Amino acid sequence: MFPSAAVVGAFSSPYAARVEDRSLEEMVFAVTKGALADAGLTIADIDAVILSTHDQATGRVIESMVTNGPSGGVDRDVTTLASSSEHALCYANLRILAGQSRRVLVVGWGKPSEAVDPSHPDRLTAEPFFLRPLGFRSSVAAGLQASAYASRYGLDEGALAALRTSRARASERMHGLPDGHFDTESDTDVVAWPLTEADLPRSCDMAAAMVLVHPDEVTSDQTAAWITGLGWATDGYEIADRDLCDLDSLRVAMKMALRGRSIEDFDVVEMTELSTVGSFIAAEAMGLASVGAGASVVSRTTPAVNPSGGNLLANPGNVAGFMRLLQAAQQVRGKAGAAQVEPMPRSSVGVATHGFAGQGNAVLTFGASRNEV
Amino acid sequence: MRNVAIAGFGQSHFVKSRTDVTFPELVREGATLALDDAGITMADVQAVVFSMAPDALIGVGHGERWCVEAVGAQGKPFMRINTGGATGLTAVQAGYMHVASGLFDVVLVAGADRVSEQLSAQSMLNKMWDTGYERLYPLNTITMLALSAQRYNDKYGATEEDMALVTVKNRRHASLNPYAHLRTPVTVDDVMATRMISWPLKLADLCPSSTGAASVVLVSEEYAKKLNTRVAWVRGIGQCAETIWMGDRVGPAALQDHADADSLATAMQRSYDQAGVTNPREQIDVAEIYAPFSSVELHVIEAAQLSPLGESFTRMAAGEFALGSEGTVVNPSGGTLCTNPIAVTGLVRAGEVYLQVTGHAGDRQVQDASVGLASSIGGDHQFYASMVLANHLEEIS
Repeated sequence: MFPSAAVVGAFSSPYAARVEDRSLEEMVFAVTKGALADAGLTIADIDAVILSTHDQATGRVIESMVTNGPSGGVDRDVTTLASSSEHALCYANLRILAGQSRRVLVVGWGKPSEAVDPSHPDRLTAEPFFLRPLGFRSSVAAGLQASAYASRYGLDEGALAALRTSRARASERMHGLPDGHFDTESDTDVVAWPLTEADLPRSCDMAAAMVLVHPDEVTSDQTAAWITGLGWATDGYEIADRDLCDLDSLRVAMKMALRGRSIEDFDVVEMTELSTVGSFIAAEAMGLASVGAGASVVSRTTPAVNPSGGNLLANPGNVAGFMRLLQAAQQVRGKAGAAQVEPMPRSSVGVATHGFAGQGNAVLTFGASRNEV
Repeated sequence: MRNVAIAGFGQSHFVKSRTDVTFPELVREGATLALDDAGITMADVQAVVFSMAPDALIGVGHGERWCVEAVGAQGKPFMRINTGGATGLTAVQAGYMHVASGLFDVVLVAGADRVSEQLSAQSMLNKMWDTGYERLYPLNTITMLALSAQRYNDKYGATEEDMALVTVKNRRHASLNPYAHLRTPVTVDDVMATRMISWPLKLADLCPSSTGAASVVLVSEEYAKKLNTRVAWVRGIGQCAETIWMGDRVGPAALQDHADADSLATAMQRSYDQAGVTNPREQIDVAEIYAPFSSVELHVIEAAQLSPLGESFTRMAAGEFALGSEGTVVNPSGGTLCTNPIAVTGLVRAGEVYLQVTGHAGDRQVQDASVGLASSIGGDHQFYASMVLANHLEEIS
């Protein structure tokens, strides 16, 4: 069954806090074209297009209607995943495993700048009876999670500062931005105790696309990231029913994707960080740190964690998780640019997280060769 | 390729409004009915696909996350499909992929909708068009399909009375379906007497805004043998999408014609090819096709090759496609025209075919039905899905 598929093309738009010179459709067209070119394919080679949307983020009721054309979906088999962008990649794997597709284009985007305030649509994801009247939203959920962790294990302020700095420096390198573009120490206002602006993901606009093919479709002139494991799961919605200091769904997704392997077997990890403290909790659930000692992830070098800088300083809304999986694939393809780990990794793990306090998680593992399985 | 079957289906009684349940409770109602029908529990389900169309219909962003507990998905793989009105059948196809992939043996596809429970569904649906051009017209799904109906009638010579016959047939069928929303039979005169909404569509040419839930259970062949229950095998699936621009569906350079359902025909052909259907008129016993307005059913029948292009209305006037007629019976449940809970309308199409080919459709049963077609449409007549189901795995003859 594995490798289930191979990533042979990937492309994402450059970092921008707010894209003003291109429409959403133009952003989507550019990354579609870029991913196909990277794969050495044309849209005529693609037998299914999978889109990922988050309708209310941009105020479109069925967002994929306008992005279907620029994604090359006209006259093609098109499916839209709306739960989170990483599910579009999971679904591409399912289509290929099911024998229904040989070459799949997956396209996702996040343009939170189109909202007057990205937190407004975020608040609409709170159910209307209890949470919404309280002003509940992602930052509040992250704050509750962090306060629960602080209460149980305490907070290592030094590790938090080191994490912020590490991610900022990597993000600046990754996106070609001048040193100090992300001033991580200036945002000290508390947003949701104990988290400050600097502890929470910073919004940006981005589109991204990947081409996945059946393992037998990989040609000698293509550079492949072989998908060696696949897992995804959800927790319940009610955070009061969860242990906020843990991520059960991430543990399930990891077990499903790793298939008996250990996180220590991998060279690189690209993971979503819902907050600095959330990063510690995710690291524990992934086995990168022992329970209560998540702060140790800051000093880990093997595997390398978020060499791209992750999403803390560049969080493109719906496509945040998708980008982590893309970056993990690019590492084993040797195409991670300024984030490339040397020597070139043989294997990587991508972790995508979504929802209040990390309700849902998806994990894909990648290998540099077909027999990496 | 791994064989996959629908082994359970549940639907609520569709109505205009439900004030006795929250959205998750409504979803759970449909899920429980499907699981009961399959003879399994939530603990047996290995993954869940959530069928949910625009978030704005229920006023909760990512409403699927709110419903995780309702469908027992904690700790399990869970994802949501949204292709507008096509969502329900696309979600069933996603459930099929889960099982056919070999990763899962039992998958629940669940959802619900409460279309009438905001101020104006059509005002909300206007927001699905692009912000700078078509949204300003202002388009909605009624005016959008009125343009299609005008073009169809002009191209083939159909009349408003021909469209009314579709409503008459489907209302008669719905009167036999205890789950349908609009169940009162009507005459052509009744339809013609209703007020004009957007020419040539009158009130009785249009579907209602429905509230309700529906779910299906999909299983592998190995699991189906263990269940030892009635199943409908998924024999073929297909999808195809069109451009959003209706202006590009007319003229010599058009890929598709706004009068017809060309991309749906492509999607259906894909499902026929996989199923081995070579002569739909002879081989398809029952068709549950997504047609929210009377005019739409005419060109969907033609896309399904149940009639030559431009002839469906004359054949319908001659009594074809109705319960008790020779040939393929179309929408014996009353179809989308009588019940439209958008998020699960396509799912109900597959569920109704499951009931038909397993012989459990009650008063609306098509005699000796063994092969059926389900279809759905979403966006601005843009996203299309098709599925062929049968009560056997033998060659379809």
